[in-house]
Amino acid sequence: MDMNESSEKGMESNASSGPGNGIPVEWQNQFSGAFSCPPAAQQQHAMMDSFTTASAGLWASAASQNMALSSDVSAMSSAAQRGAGFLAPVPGFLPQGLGHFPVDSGFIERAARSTCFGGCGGGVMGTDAYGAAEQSMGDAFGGAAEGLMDHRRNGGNDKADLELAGNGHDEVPSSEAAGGDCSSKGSESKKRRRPNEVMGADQVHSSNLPADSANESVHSKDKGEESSPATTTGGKSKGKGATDTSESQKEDYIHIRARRGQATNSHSLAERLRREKISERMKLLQDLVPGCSKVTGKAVMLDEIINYVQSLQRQVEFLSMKLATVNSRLDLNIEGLLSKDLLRFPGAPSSSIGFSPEMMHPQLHLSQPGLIQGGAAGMANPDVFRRIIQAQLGAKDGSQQLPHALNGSFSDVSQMAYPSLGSQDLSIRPSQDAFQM
Amino acid sequence: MHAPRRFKRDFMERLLLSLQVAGLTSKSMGLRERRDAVRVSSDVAMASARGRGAPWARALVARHAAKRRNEALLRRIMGGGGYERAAAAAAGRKEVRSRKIVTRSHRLCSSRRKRRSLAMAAASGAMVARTMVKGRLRLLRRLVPGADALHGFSLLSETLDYVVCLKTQAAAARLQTCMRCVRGVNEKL
Repeated sequence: MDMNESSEKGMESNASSGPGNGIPVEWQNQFSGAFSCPPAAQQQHAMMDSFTTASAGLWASAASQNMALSSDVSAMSSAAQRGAGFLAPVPGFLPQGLGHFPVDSGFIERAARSTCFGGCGGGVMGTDAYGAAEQSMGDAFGGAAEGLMDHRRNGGNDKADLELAGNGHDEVPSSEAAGGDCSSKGSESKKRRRPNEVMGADQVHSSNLPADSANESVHSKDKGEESSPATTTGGKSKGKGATDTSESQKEDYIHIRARRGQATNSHSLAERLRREKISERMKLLQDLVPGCSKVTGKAVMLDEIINYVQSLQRQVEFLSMKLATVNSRLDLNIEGLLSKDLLRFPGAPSSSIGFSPEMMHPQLHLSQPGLIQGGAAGMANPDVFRRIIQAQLGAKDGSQQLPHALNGSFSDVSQMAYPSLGSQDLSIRPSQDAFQM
Repeated sequence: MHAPRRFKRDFMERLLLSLQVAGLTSKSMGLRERRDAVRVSSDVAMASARGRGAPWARALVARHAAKRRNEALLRRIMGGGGYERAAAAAAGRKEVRSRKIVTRSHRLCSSRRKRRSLAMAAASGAMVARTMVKGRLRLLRRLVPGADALHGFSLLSETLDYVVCLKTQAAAARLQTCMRCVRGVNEKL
């Protein structure tokens, strides 16, 4: 149980961070509550811990970071045992759901510029409770993005190199200069492109950048020539590249190697560049929108993109409705409803819930009409609430086992709720949303 | 290129702040009001977290500012100066609308031309594909806020940006609701 040991070490380091005093925001209260766990409110915080663990577990690929968010030892051990089983699938699942982060060509040059972004960002953001969760999120993205980056590297993407030639070589010298400058992160933050700027990817790129500058210089040539090896893939002779590097950096505009048999007219070259930029963008979009890897052709791709945007907008609308409902329900007296109904379903199996949403459906029949108004998130929550209530009722009897079982199952359910939600969201079915009203 | 973590964290903070400002816990609001308040606040949070670099952010906020009902809430969330800027952007959209009319008339003319050419020649595959693409781009322009006047490359970039931010918005809202649900239950018990 390496995770348990590392988790406990992580916890001890985090135990010193006190609660966020005077932070009015409930979100931060919950997270800081997760950090400081007074023994009197142990059970309550145990659940919160597992929940934060679970919710962070969705995002984090590293188990240790996951565990470090909770400070309750007993909850951790059980959650670790349960979570261990689920963290393995979660990283596997994660790339499908959340790992489709496109890599912008401009990102390459900017990644080179902010080589210590990850280090600085990690240091800056790691301190507060918020930052810890977000950091684990970011690392998850980083892990996925790294995979993507490598894939693109190996693809030998000449378009990326072209873009580099176009956008990057003004910045290549500046990137070397500003490489170690963490304040460059500030200039990056409000720039336009991809959310992929993470530590691992940065390191990959800073190592790849010298190779890129060599490659890009190879691409730069006079417009009139035609190449005998027809394509412009990377991997040209580096010796030739070395001599051209200085020249390419002096140029302001792009030299494009004309392909064999294609017109070398300036107009057609510009047009080709524009088309390649557009196809670059389409590729990024393809990475971002799930389920578009097999699709070729602009029309179908655009169709998928439109569907995805519409479904996302609908999701946001539904979720805002739900948020509004929850806020109003916070004031009303719902526990009467809950406890009555929940006592009718005493023996819920703790680990029976699989990833498939179909298994959640039977549990929708729990009669909690006022609480959740439907939706996939709601599908998970009734079960969650049931378990919480059970745990509370059980805990008042003094049994120590039930909260741990609850924590484990809670983390199970929460972790599962999100992946199942994710899997539902990702399949684009405009007629049938993932949410059942 | 904006940092993912910072964007998410920014967005979360702003969302919570704006939700607080919206005063959702007051009992006087009806459900629809609440939902609108939540939507406005989350959109404003997302747009302000994104910053000025993206045209969709400004257009989104301007869209909300154009409705009179949201004025008080927007003033509270963004401050007076921010609201003035949004109102100015909302007024500025009228010029964009006139440009839209011009482009639409251009499109009609070109479609008439195309119809004539189609009548003359059988619709080639490329022509059909182009019409389809053009139609979908039109849809996309309607979906993405503030992307009306964009073409081609910039439209796609804008969509890309917008999709990423929508994703984080949905994820953040989901986390929010679940946390609040749990917290509510915990408080009662």
